[in-house]
Amino acid sequence: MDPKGEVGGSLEADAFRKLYPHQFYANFLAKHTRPDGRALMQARPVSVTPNAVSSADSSATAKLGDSAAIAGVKLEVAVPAEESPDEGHLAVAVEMAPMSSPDVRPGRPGEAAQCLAEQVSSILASSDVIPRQQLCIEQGRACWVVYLDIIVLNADGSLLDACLLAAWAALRSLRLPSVILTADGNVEPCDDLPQTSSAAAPEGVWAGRMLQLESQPVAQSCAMMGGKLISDCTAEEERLADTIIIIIVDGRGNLLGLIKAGGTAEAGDMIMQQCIEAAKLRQQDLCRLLEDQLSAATLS
Amino acid sequence: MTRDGERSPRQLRNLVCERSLLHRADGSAKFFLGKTCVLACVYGPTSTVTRKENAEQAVIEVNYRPMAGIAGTQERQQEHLIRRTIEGVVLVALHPRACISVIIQVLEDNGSALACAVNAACTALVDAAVPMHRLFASVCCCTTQDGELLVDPSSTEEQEAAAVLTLVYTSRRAEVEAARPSISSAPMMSFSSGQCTPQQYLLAALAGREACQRLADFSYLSLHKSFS
Repeated sequence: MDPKGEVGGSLEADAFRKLYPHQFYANFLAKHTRPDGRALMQARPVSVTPNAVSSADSSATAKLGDSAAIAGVKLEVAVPAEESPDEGHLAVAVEMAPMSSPDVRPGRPGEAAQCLAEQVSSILASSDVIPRQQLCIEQGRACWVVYLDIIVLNADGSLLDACLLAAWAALRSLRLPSVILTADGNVEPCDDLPQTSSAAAPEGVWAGRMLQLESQPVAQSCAMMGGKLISDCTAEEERLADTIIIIIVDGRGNLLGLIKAGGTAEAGDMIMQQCIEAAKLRQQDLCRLLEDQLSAATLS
Repeated sequence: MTRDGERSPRQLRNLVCERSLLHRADGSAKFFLGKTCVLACVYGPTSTVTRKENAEQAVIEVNYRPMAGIAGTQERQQEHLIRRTIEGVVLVALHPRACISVIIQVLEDNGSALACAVNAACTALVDAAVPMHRLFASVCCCTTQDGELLVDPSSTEEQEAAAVLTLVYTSRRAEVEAARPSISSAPMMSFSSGQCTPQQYLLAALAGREACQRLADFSYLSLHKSFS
Protein backbone atom coordinates (compact mmCIF):
# COMPACT_ATOMS: atom_id res chain seq x y z
CA MET A 1 0.00 0.00 0.00
CA ASP A 2 1.42 3.43 -0.79
CA PRO A 3 1.49 6.15 1.90
CA LYS A 4 -1.77 7.66 0.70
CA GLY A 5 -3.50 4.42 1.55
CA GLU A 6 -4.41 3.70 -2.04
CA VAL A 7 -3.71 0.43 -3.69
CA GLY A 8 -2.85 -0.20 -7.31
CA GLY A 9 -5.86 -0.63 -9.50
CA SER A 10 -4.52 -3.79 -11.10
CA LEU A 11 -5.49 -5.95 -8.12
CA GLU A 12 -8.62 -7.93 -8.56
CA ALA A 13 -11.43 -7.20 -6.15
CA ASP A 14 -11.32 -10.61 -4.44
CA ALA A 15 -7.57 -10.43 -3.90
CA PHE A 16 -7.88 -6.88 -2.64
CA ARG A 17 -10.58 -7.95 -0.19
CA LYS A 18 -8.33 -10.69 1.20
CA LEU A 19 -5.14 -8.61 1.35
CA TYR A 20 -6.46 -5.27 2.57
CA PRO A 21 -9.80 -6.06 4.22
CA HIS A 22 -9.93 -2.83 6.25
CA GLN A 23 -9.27 -0.68 3.18
CA PHE A 24 -11.79 -2.72 1.20
CA TYR A 25 -14.50 -2.06 3.77
CA ALA A 26 -13.51 1.58 4.23
CA ASN A 27 -14.07 2.18 0.50
CA PHE A 28 -17.62 0.87 0.80
CA LEU A 29 -18.42 2.58 4.10
CA ALA A 30 -17.28 5.93 2.70
CA LYS A 31 -20.07 5.56 0.14
CA HIS A 32 -22.59 4.56 2.86
CA THR A 33 -22.95 1.04 1.59
CA ARG A 34 -21.59 -2.42 2.31
CA PRO A 35 -20.03 -5.09 0.08
CA ASP A 36 -23.24 -7.14 0.05
CA GLY A 37 -25.22 -4.14 -1.19
CA ARG A 38 -26.91 -3.27 2.11
CA ALA A 39 -27.22 0.20 3.57
CA LEU A 40 -25.34 0.74 6.84
CA MET A 41 -28.26 0.06 9.17
CA GLN A 42 -30.07 -2.38 6.91
CA ALA A 43 -30.57 -5.91 8.21
CA ARG A 44 -30.32 -9.08 6.18
CA PRO A 45 -33.50 -10.89 5.20
CA VAL A 46 -34.97 -12.86 8.11
CA SER A 47 -36.96 -16.03 8.03
CA VAL A 48 -38.32 -18.07 10.89
CA THR A 49 -39.99 -21.46 10.63
CA PRO A 50 -41.83 -22.89 13.60
CA ASN A 51 -42.05 -26.66 14.15
CA ALA A 52 -38.97 -27.62 12.19
CA VAL A 53 -38.30 -30.92 14.00
CA SER A 54 -41.22 -33.23 14.68
CA SER A 55 -39.42 -35.26 17.37
CA ALA A 56 -39.07 -32.27 19.71
CA ASP A 57 -41.87 -30.90 21.88
CA SER A 58 -41.51 -27.68 19.94
CA SER A 59 -38.86 -26.28 17.69
CA ALA A 60 -38.04 -23.52 15.25
CA THR A 61 -35.36 -22.48 12.81
CA ALA A 62 -34.27 -18.91 12.32
CA LYS A 63 -32.23 -17.54 9.46
CA LEU A 64 -30.64 -14.12 9.29
CA GLY A 65 -29.04 -13.91 5.90
CA ASP A 66 -26.67 -16.87 5.92
CA SER A 67 -26.65 -17.25 9.71
CA ALA A 68 -28.89 -20.09 10.73
CA ALA A 69 -29.83 -21.59 14.07
CA ILE A 70 -32.28 -24.26 15.11
CA ALA A 71 -33.85 -24.44 18.56
CA GLY A 72 -35.60 -27.44 20.02
CA VAL A 73 -37.45 -27.88 23.28
CA LYS A 74 -37.67 -31.11 25.20
CA LEU A 75 -39.87 -31.42 28.27
CA GLU A 76 -39.26 -33.53 31.33
CA VAL A 77 -41.00 -33.79 34.67
CA ALA A 78 -38.96 -33.25 37.83
CA VAL A 79 -39.40 -32.43 41.48
CA PRO A 80 -39.15 -28.66 42.05
CA ALA A 81 -36.28 -27.25 44.07
CA GLU A 82 -36.88 -26.86 47.81
CA GLU A 83 -36.40 -23.09 47.78
CA SER A 84 -38.88 -22.54 44.95
CA PRO A 85 -41.55 -25.27 45.22
CA ASP A 86 -43.91 -23.60 42.74
CA GLU A 87 -41.45 -23.04 39.90
CA GLY A 88 -40.10 -25.14 37.05
CA HIS A 89 -36.69 -24.89 35.41
CA LEU A 90 -35.29 -23.82 32.09
CA ALA A 91 -31.97 -25.26 30.92
CA VAL A 92 -30.34 -23.68 27.88
CA ALA A 93 -27.54 -25.25 25.85
CA VAL A 94 -26.00 -23.87 22.69
CA GLU A 95 -23.88 -25.90 20.35
CA MET A 96 -21.99 -24.63 17.37
CA ALA A 97 -21.98 -27.36 14.74
CA PRO A 98 -18.46 -27.98 13.35
CA MET A 99 -19.81 -27.25 9.88
CA SER A 100 -21.00 -23.80 10.97
CA SER A 101 -17.66 -22.02 10.67
CA PRO A 102 -13.97 -22.83 9.98
CA ASP A 103 -13.12 -21.56 13.49
CA VAL A 104 -15.25 -24.16 15.23
CA ARG A 105 -13.68 -27.49 16.09
CA PRO A 106 -15.61 -30.56 17.07
CA GLY A 107 -15.50 -31.46 20.73
CA ARG A 108 -16.12 -29.41 23.81
CA PRO A 109 -18.12 -26.23 23.22
CA GLY A 110 -15.85 -23.27 22.67
CA GLU A 111 -16.00 -19.81 24.14
CA ALA A 112 -18.44 -18.51 21.55
CA ALA A 113 -20.96 -21.30 22.16
CA GLN A 114 -20.72 -20.99 25.94
CA CYS A 115 -21.12 -17.22 25.79
CA LEU A 116 -24.22 -17.62 23.61
CA ALA A 117 -25.71 -20.13 26.05
CA GLU A 118 -25.07 -17.81 28.96
CA GLN A 119 -26.53 -14.82 27.13
CA VAL A 120 -29.69 -16.63 26.00
CA SER A 121 -30.34 -18.14 29.41
CA SER A 122 -29.68 -14.85 31.18
CA ILE A 123 -32.11 -13.03 28.85
CA LEU A 124 -34.82 -15.64 29.32
CA ALA A 125 -34.28 -15.75 33.09
CA SER A 126 -33.71 -12.16 34.10
CA SER A 127 -36.61 -10.59 32.29
CA ASP A 128 -39.21 -13.11 33.40
CA VAL A 129 -39.93 -13.85 29.77
CA ILE A 130 -41.21 -17.19 31.00
CA PRO A 131 -42.98 -16.93 34.35
CA ARG A 132 -41.62 -20.01 36.12
CA GLN A 133 -44.90 -20.57 37.96
CA GLN A 134 -46.41 -21.67 34.66
CA LEU A 135 -44.10 -24.66 34.69
CA CYS A 136 -45.41 -25.90 38.03
CA ILE A 137 -47.62 -29.00 37.88
CA GLU A 138 -48.21 -29.41 41.59
CA GLN A 139 -46.55 -27.38 44.26
CA GLY A 140 -43.61 -29.15 45.84
CA ARG A 141 -44.28 -32.37 43.93
CA ALA A 142 -43.87 -31.97 40.19
CA CYS A 143 -42.81 -29.33 37.70
CA TRP A 144 -41.73 -29.13 34.10
CA VAL A 145 -38.08 -28.87 33.13
CA VAL A 146 -37.71 -27.18 29.77
CA TYR A 147 -34.54 -28.19 27.96
CA LEU A 148 -33.89 -25.60 25.29
CA ASP A 149 -31.18 -26.77 22.89
CA ILE A 150 -29.94 -24.43 20.21
CA ILE A 151 -27.66 -25.55 17.40
CA VAL A 152 -25.92 -23.00 15.24
CA LEU A 153 -25.89 -24.44 11.73
CA ASN A 154 -24.17 -21.60 9.93
CA ALA A 155 -22.21 -18.95 11.81
CA ASP A 156 -22.21 -15.86 9.64
CA GLY A 157 -22.36 -13.18 12.30
CA SER A 158 -25.05 -11.79 14.63
CA LEU A 159 -25.41 -15.20 16.22
CA LEU A 160 -27.18 -14.05 19.37
CA ASP A 161 -29.87 -12.45 17.20
CA ALA A 162 -30.44 -15.73 15.36
CA CYS A 163 -30.26 -17.94 18.47
CA LEU A 164 -32.64 -15.77 20.46
CA LEU A 165 -35.11 -15.59 17.58
CA ALA A 166 -35.08 -19.38 17.21
CA ALA A 167 -35.44 -19.83 20.98
CA TRP A 168 -38.30 -17.35 21.19
CA ALA A 169 -40.14 -18.98 18.25
CA ALA A 170 -39.70 -22.45 19.75
CA LEU A 171 -40.93 -21.39 23.20
CA ARG A 172 -43.77 -19.38 21.65
CA SER A 173 -45.15 -22.51 20.00
CA LEU A 174 -44.57 -24.76 23.01
CA ARG A 175 -47.57 -26.62 24.32
CA LEU A 176 -47.24 -28.24 27.73
CA PRO A 177 -49.07 -31.59 27.44
CA SER A 178 -51.80 -32.83 29.78
CA VAL A 179 -50.67 -35.16 32.53
CA ILE A 180 -52.28 -37.18 35.30
CA LEU A 181 -50.91 -37.03 38.81
CA THR A 182 -51.41 -40.49 40.26
CA ALA A 183 -52.06 -41.10 43.94
CA ASP A 184 -48.58 -42.57 44.47
CA GLY A 185 -46.95 -39.38 43.19
CA ASN A 186 -46.16 -40.43 39.62
CA VAL A 187 -46.84 -38.23 36.65
CA GLU A 188 -48.22 -40.01 33.61
CA PRO A 189 -49.08 -38.62 30.21
CA CYS A 190 -52.72 -38.51 29.26
CA ASP A 191 -54.72 -37.56 26.20
CA ASP A 192 -55.52 -33.93 25.78
CA LEU A 193 -58.97 -32.95 26.85
CA PRO A 194 -61.25 -32.05 23.97
CA GLN A 195 -60.89 -28.35 23.28
CA THR A 196 -64.64 -27.81 23.17
CA SER A 197 -65.51 -29.26 26.57
CA SER A 198 -66.16 -26.46 28.98
CA ALA A 199 -66.31 -28.82 31.96
CA ALA A 200 -63.55 -28.55 34.55
CA ALA A 201 -60.71 -31.04 34.30
CA PRO A 202 -61.27 -34.28 36.21
CA GLU A 203 -59.55 -34.80 39.54
CA GLY A 204 -55.77 -35.32 39.27
CA VAL A 205 -55.50 -34.19 35.68
CA TRP A 206 -53.26 -31.27 34.86
CA ALA A 207 -54.75 -29.79 31.71
CA GLY A 208 -52.32 -29.11 28.86
CA ARG A 209 -51.81 -25.49 27.83
CA MET A 210 -49.72 -23.23 25.67
CA LEU A 211 -46.75 -21.63 27.39
CA GLN A 212 -47.51 -17.92 27.79
CA LEU A 213 -44.55 -15.63 27.25
CA GLU A 214 -44.63 -12.34 29.13
CA SER A 215 -42.48 -10.42 26.68
CA GLN A 216 -40.87 -10.78 23.29
CA PRO A 217 -37.10 -10.47 23.60
CA VAL A 218 -35.17 -9.56 20.45
CA ALA A 219 -31.44 -9.04 20.13
CA GLN A 220 -29.89 -6.64 17.66
CA SER A 221 -26.17 -6.71 16.92
CA CYS A 222 -24.51 -3.56 15.68
CA ALA A 223 -20.85 -2.93 15.00
CA MET A 224 -18.68 0.13 14.78
CA MET A 225 -16.26 0.14 11.92
CA GLY A 226 -14.14 3.16 11.10
CA GLY A 227 -16.43 5.43 13.13
CA LYS A 228 -19.57 4.24 11.34
CA LEU A 229 -22.33 2.19 12.85
CA ILE A 230 -23.56 -0.84 10.92
CA SER A 231 -26.26 -3.27 11.97
CA ASP A 232 -26.67 -7.03 11.58
CA CYS A 233 -23.05 -7.74 10.66
CA THR A 234 -21.73 -10.80 8.88
CA ALA A 235 -18.89 -12.87 10.33
CA GLU A 236 -16.37 -10.99 8.17
CA GLU A 237 -17.67 -7.63 9.38
CA GLU A 238 -17.57 -8.80 13.01
CA ARG A 239 -13.95 -9.81 12.60
CA LEU A 240 -12.97 -6.42 11.19
CA ALA A 241 -15.17 -4.29 13.46
CA ASP A 242 -13.68 -2.02 16.11
CA THR A 243 -16.35 -3.05 18.54
CA ILE A 244 -19.64 -4.94 18.62
CA ILE A 245 -22.70 -3.71 20.47
CA ILE A 246 -25.56 -6.09 21.15
CA ILE A 247 -28.83 -4.65 22.44
CA ILE A 248 -31.67 -6.85 23.71
CA VAL A 249 -35.09 -5.22 24.04
CA ASP A 250 -38.59 -6.43 24.80
CA GLY A 251 -41.92 -5.29 23.39
CA ARG A 252 -42.38 -2.58 26.03
CA GLY A 253 -39.22 -0.74 25.04
CA ASN A 254 -37.22 -1.95 28.05
CA LEU A 255 -33.61 -3.01 27.80
CA LEU A 256 -33.15 -6.67 28.72
CA GLY A 257 -29.44 -6.56 28.16
CA LEU A 258 -26.66 -4.65 26.60
CA ILE A 259 -23.35 -6.19 25.67
CA LYS A 260 -20.47 -4.12 24.46
CA ALA A 261 -17.42 -6.26 24.98
CA GLY A 262 -14.33 -4.08 24.81
CA GLY A 263 -12.73 -3.54 21.43
CA THR A 264 -10.90 -0.45 20.30
CA ALA A 265 -13.87 1.90 19.86
CA GLU A 266 -15.88 3.57 22.58
CA ALA A 267 -19.62 3.92 22.30
CA GLY A 268 -21.11 7.15 23.61
CA ASP A 269 -24.69 7.87 24.52
CA MET A 270 -25.60 8.89 20.96
CA ILE A 271 -24.37 5.60 19.51
CA MET A 272 -26.11 3.61 22.23
CA GLN A 273 -29.38 5.44 21.65
CA GLN A 274 -29.11 4.81 17.92
CA CYS A 275 -28.58 1.10 18.60
CA ILE A 276 -31.50 0.99 21.04
CA GLU A 277 -33.84 2.68 18.55
CA ALA A 278 -32.73 0.24 15.85
CA ALA A 279 -33.36 -2.65 18.22
CA LYS A 280 -36.89 -1.40 19.02
CA LEU A 281 -37.79 -1.21 15.33
CA ARG A 282 -36.30 -4.64 14.79
CA GLN A 283 -38.33 -6.01 17.68
CA GLN A 284 -41.58 -4.81 16.08
CA ASP A 285 -40.62 -6.24 12.67
CA LEU A 286 -39.70 -9.64 14.07
CA CYS A 287 -42.80 -9.75 16.28
CA ARG A 288 -44.99 -9.24 13.22
CA LEU A 289 -43.03 -11.79 11.18
CA LEU A 290 -43.25 -14.45 13.88
CA GLU A 291 -46.97 -13.97 14.50
CA ASP A 292 -47.60 -14.26 10.74
CA GLN A 293 -45.57 -17.46 10.56
CA LEU A 294 -47.31 -18.96 13.59
CA SER A 295 -50.79 -18.20 12.33
CA ALA A 296 -49.87 -19.59 8.90
CA ALA A 297 -48.58 -22.76 10.56
CA THR A 298 -51.77 -23.29 12.57
CA LEU A 299 -54.00 -22.70 9.52
CA SER A 300 -52.20 -25.22 7.33
CA MET B 1 -30.93 6.80 52.10
CA THR B 2 -28.04 4.77 53.45
CA ARG B 3 -27.00 1.26 52.51
CA ASP B 4 -25.64 -1.63 54.60
CA GLY B 5 -22.37 -0.04 55.66
CA GLU B 6 -23.75 3.49 56.01
CA ARG B 7 -22.87 4.16 52.40
CA SER B 8 -24.58 6.69 50.19
CA PRO B 9 -26.02 5.35 46.89
CA ARG B 10 -23.13 6.65 44.79
CA GLN B 11 -20.36 5.79 47.24
CA LEU B 12 -17.67 3.22 46.46
CA ARG B 13 -16.53 0.79 49.11
CA ASN B 14 -12.99 0.83 50.49
CA LEU B 15 -10.42 0.33 47.76
CA VAL B 16 -7.21 -1.59 48.34
CA CYS B 17 -4.69 -2.55 45.67
CA GLU B 18 -1.59 -4.70 46.17
CA ARG B 19 1.00 -5.37 43.52
CA SER B 20 3.73 -7.99 42.85
CA LEU B 21 2.48 -10.67 45.19
CA LEU B 22 3.47 -13.76 43.21
CA HIS B 23 7.18 -14.06 42.49
CA ARG B 24 6.88 -16.63 39.66
CA ALA B 25 4.45 -14.58 37.60
CA ASP B 26 5.54 -11.70 35.35
CA GLY B 27 3.01 -9.50 37.05
CA SER B 28 0.33 -9.91 39.68
CA ALA B 29 -2.09 -7.80 41.65
CA LYS B 30 -4.81 -8.13 44.23
CA PHE B 31 -7.71 -5.72 44.17
CA PHE B 32 -10.29 -5.20 46.89
CA LEU B 33 -13.68 -3.53 46.55
CA GLY B 34 -14.79 -3.66 50.15
CA LYS B 35 -14.91 -7.38 50.94
CA THR B 36 -14.79 -8.45 47.29
CA CYS B 37 -11.27 -9.55 46.50
CA VAL B 38 -9.75 -10.71 43.21
CA LEU B 39 -6.22 -11.86 42.46
CA ALA B 40 -4.91 -11.46 38.91
CA CYS B 41 -1.65 -12.66 37.47
CA VAL B 42 -0.07 -12.11 34.06
CA TYR B 43 2.40 -14.25 32.13
CA GLY B 44 3.87 -12.88 28.99
CA PRO B 45 4.53 -11.92 26.35
CA THR B 46 5.50 -15.55 26.01
CA SER B 47 5.29 -18.25 23.37
CA THR B 48 2.18 -20.31 22.77
CA VAL B 49 1.12 -23.36 20.78
CA THR B 50 1.27 -22.86 17.02
CA ARG B 51 -2.46 -23.36 16.58
CA LYS B 52 -3.28 -20.34 18.74
CA GLU B 53 -0.64 -17.87 17.65
CA ASN B 54 -1.32 -14.94 15.37
CA ALA B 55 1.35 -13.86 12.88
CA GLU B 56 0.42 -10.19 13.18
CA GLN B 57 -0.30 -9.59 16.83
CA ALA B 58 -0.10 -10.96 20.34
CA VAL B 59 -2.90 -13.21 21.47
CA ILE B 60 -4.56 -12.47 24.80
CA GLU B 61 -5.74 -15.37 26.90
CA VAL B 62 -7.92 -14.89 29.94
CA ASN B 63 -8.65 -17.55 32.48
CA TYR B 64 -11.34 -16.65 35.04
CA ARG B 65 -11.60 -18.89 38.08
CA PRO B 66 -14.60 -18.66 40.38
CA MET B 67 -14.25 -18.60 44.15
CA ALA B 68 -15.36 -22.22 44.43
CA GLY B 69 -16.20 -25.01 42.02
CA ILE B 70 -15.36 -25.28 38.36
CA ALA B 71 -15.78 -22.55 35.76
CA GLY B 72 -19.09 -22.67 33.88
CA THR B 73 -20.72 -20.68 31.09
CA GLN B 74 -20.93 -17.55 33.23
CA GLU B 75 -17.17 -17.57 33.78
CA ARG B 76 -16.60 -18.03 30.03
CA GLN B 77 -18.70 -14.93 29.46
CA GLN B 78 -16.60 -12.97 31.98
CA GLU B 79 -13.43 -14.23 30.28
CA HIS B 80 -14.73 -13.03 26.93
CA LEU B 81 -15.60 -9.57 28.29
CA ILE B 82 -12.24 -9.15 30.04
CA ARG B 83 -10.30 -10.44 27.03
CA ARG B 84 -11.98 -8.03 24.62
CA THR B 85 -11.33 -5.17 27.07
CA ILE B 86 -7.64 -6.00 27.35
CA GLU B 87 -7.34 -6.42 23.57
CA GLY B 88 -8.58 -2.87 23.20
CA VAL B 89 -5.78 -1.28 25.26
CA VAL B 90 -2.72 -3.54 24.99
CA LEU B 91 -0.42 -2.76 22.06
CA VAL B 92 -0.86 -6.24 20.62
CA ALA B 93 0.92 -5.43 17.35
CA LEU B 94 4.23 -5.11 19.25
CA HIS B 95 4.42 -8.82 20.00
CA PRO B 96 3.44 -10.90 16.98
CA ARG B 97 3.13 -14.67 17.60
CA ALA B 98 3.32 -14.11 21.35
CA CYS B 99 0.72 -14.78 23.99
CA ILE B 100 -0.18 -12.72 27.02
CA SER B 101 -1.98 -14.85 29.50
CA VAL B 102 -4.05 -13.35 32.29
CA ILE B 103 -5.26 -15.57 35.11
CA ILE B 104 -7.93 -14.24 37.40
CA GLN B 105 -8.90 -15.90 40.65
CA VAL B 106 -11.85 -14.61 42.64
CA LEU B 107 -10.90 -14.89 46.30
CA GLU B 108 -14.05 -13.44 47.80
CA ASP B 109 -17.23 -12.33 46.06
CA ASN B 110 -19.32 -9.77 47.87
CA GLY B 111 -20.73 -8.17 44.72
CA SER B 112 -19.16 -6.39 41.71
CA ALA B 113 -16.72 -9.27 41.14
CA LEU B 114 -16.41 -8.63 37.39
CA ALA B 115 -15.51 -4.97 37.95
CA CYS B 116 -13.01 -5.97 40.63
CA ALA B 117 -11.50 -8.56 38.27
CA VAL B 118 -11.07 -5.97 35.50
CA ASN B 119 -9.32 -3.59 37.92
CA ALA B 120 -7.06 -6.37 39.19
CA ALA B 121 -6.22 -7.36 35.60
CA CYS B 122 -5.29 -3.78 34.75
CA THR B 123 -2.92 -3.48 37.73
CA ALA B 124 -1.39 -6.89 37.00
CA LEU B 125 -0.75 -5.87 33.37
CA VAL B 126 1.00 -2.72 34.62
CA ASP B 127 2.99 -4.82 37.06
CA ALA B 128 4.05 -7.14 34.20
CA ALA B 129 5.08 -4.06 32.18
CA VAL B 130 2.89 -5.05 29.25
CA PRO B 131 2.77 -2.04 26.89
CA MET B 132 -0.67 -0.43 26.88
CA HIS B 133 -1.83 2.85 25.38
CA ARG B 134 -4.40 3.45 28.09
CA LEU B 135 -5.24 2.12 31.52
CA PHE B 136 -8.77 1.19 32.41
CA ALA B 137 -11.04 1.31 35.43
CA SER B 138 -14.25 -0.53 36.03
CA VAL B 139 -17.24 -0.18 38.32
CA CYS B 140 -20.54 -1.95 38.67
CA CYS B 141 -23.88 -0.12 39.00
CA CYS B 142 -27.31 -1.52 39.61
CA THR B 143 -30.86 -0.25 39.50
CA THR B 144 -33.10 -1.49 42.28
CA GLN B 145 -36.69 -2.66 41.78
CA ASP B 146 -37.81 0.87 42.78
CA GLY B 147 -35.62 2.39 40.06
CA GLU B 148 -32.97 3.72 42.39
CA LEU B 149 -29.36 3.75 41.22
CA LEU B 150 -26.66 2.16 43.38
CA VAL B 151 -22.97 2.29 42.56
CA ASP B 152 -20.66 -0.59 43.52
CA PRO B 153 -23.38 -2.95 44.83
CA SER B 154 -22.77 -5.68 47.38
CA SER B 155 -23.89 -9.22 46.59
CA THR B 156 -27.27 -8.82 48.32
CA GLU B 157 -27.90 -5.58 46.44
CA GLU B 158 -26.89 -7.33 43.20
CA GLN B 159 -29.31 -10.19 43.81
CA GLU B 160 -32.22 -7.88 44.60
CA ALA B 161 -31.49 -5.52 41.70
CA ALA B 162 -33.64 -5.25 38.59
CA ALA B 163 -30.61 -4.71 36.39
CA VAL B 164 -26.86 -4.89 36.92
CA LEU B 165 -24.47 -2.96 34.70
CA THR B 166 -20.68 -3.29 34.63
CA LEU B 167 -18.79 -0.50 32.91
CA VAL B 168 -15.17 -0.02 31.89
CA TYR B 169 -13.79 3.41 31.03
CA THR B 170 -10.25 3.95 29.82
CA SER B 171 -8.02 6.47 31.52
CA ARG B 172 -4.74 8.13 30.66
CA ARG B 173 -2.29 10.37 32.39
CA ALA B 174 -3.34 13.98 32.66
CA GLU B 175 -1.59 16.48 30.43
CA VAL B 176 -0.77 18.65 33.42
CA GLU B 177 1.47 17.32 36.16
CA ALA B 178 -0.36 16.41 39.39
CA ALA B 179 -3.79 16.69 37.78
CA ARG B 180 -6.31 13.85 37.89
CA PRO B 181 -6.03 11.21 35.18
CA SER B 182 -8.39 11.97 32.31
CA ILE B 183 -11.02 9.40 31.63
CA SER B 184 -12.71 8.50 28.34
CA SER B 185 -16.07 10.12 27.68
CA ALA B 186 -17.74 6.85 26.68
CA PRO B 187 -17.46 3.32 28.05
CA MET B 188 -15.20 0.89 26.24
CA MET B 189 -16.92 -2.09 27.81
CA SER B 190 -20.45 -2.12 29.06
CA PHE B 191 -22.37 -5.19 30.03
CA SER B 192 -25.83 -5.18 31.52
CA SER B 193 -28.19 -7.95 32.48
CA GLY B 194 -31.66 -7.63 33.88
CA GLN B 195 -34.43 -5.27 32.94
CA CYS B 196 -34.17 -1.48 32.85
CA THR B 197 -35.29 1.41 30.68
CA PRO B 198 -32.89 3.08 28.23
CA GLN B 199 -32.98 6.24 30.41
CA GLN B 200 -31.92 4.24 33.45
CA TYR B 201 -29.04 2.82 31.44
CA LEU B 202 -27.85 6.27 30.37
CA LEU B 203 -28.07 7.56 33.96
CA ALA B 204 -26.15 4.54 35.22
CA ALA B 205 -23.47 5.02 32.57
CA LEU B 206 -23.07 8.62 33.71
CA ALA B 207 -22.86 7.69 37.39
CA GLY B 208 -20.50 4.86 36.47
CA ARG B 209 -18.21 7.30 34.71
CA GLU B 210 -17.95 9.48 37.82
CA ALA B 211 -17.17 6.42 39.92
CA CYS B 212 -14.61 5.22 37.36
CA GLN B 213 -12.92 8.60 37.60
CA ARG B 214 -12.57 8.14 41.36
CA LEU B 215 -11.34 4.59 40.83
CA ALA B 216 -8.80 5.74 38.23
CA ASP B 217 -7.59 8.43 40.66
CA PHE B 218 -7.06 5.74 43.26
CA SER B 219 -5.27 3.37 40.85
CA TYR B 220 -2.90 6.12 39.73
CA LEU B 221 -2.13 7.09 43.28
CA SER B 222 -1.62 3.51 44.34
CA LEU B 223 0.62 2.64 41.37
CA HIS B 224 2.54 5.88 41.66
CA LYS B 225 3.30 5.22 45.33
CA SER B 226 4.30 1.61 44.84
CA PHE B 227 6.63 2.38 41.91
CA SER B 228 8.34 5.39 43.44
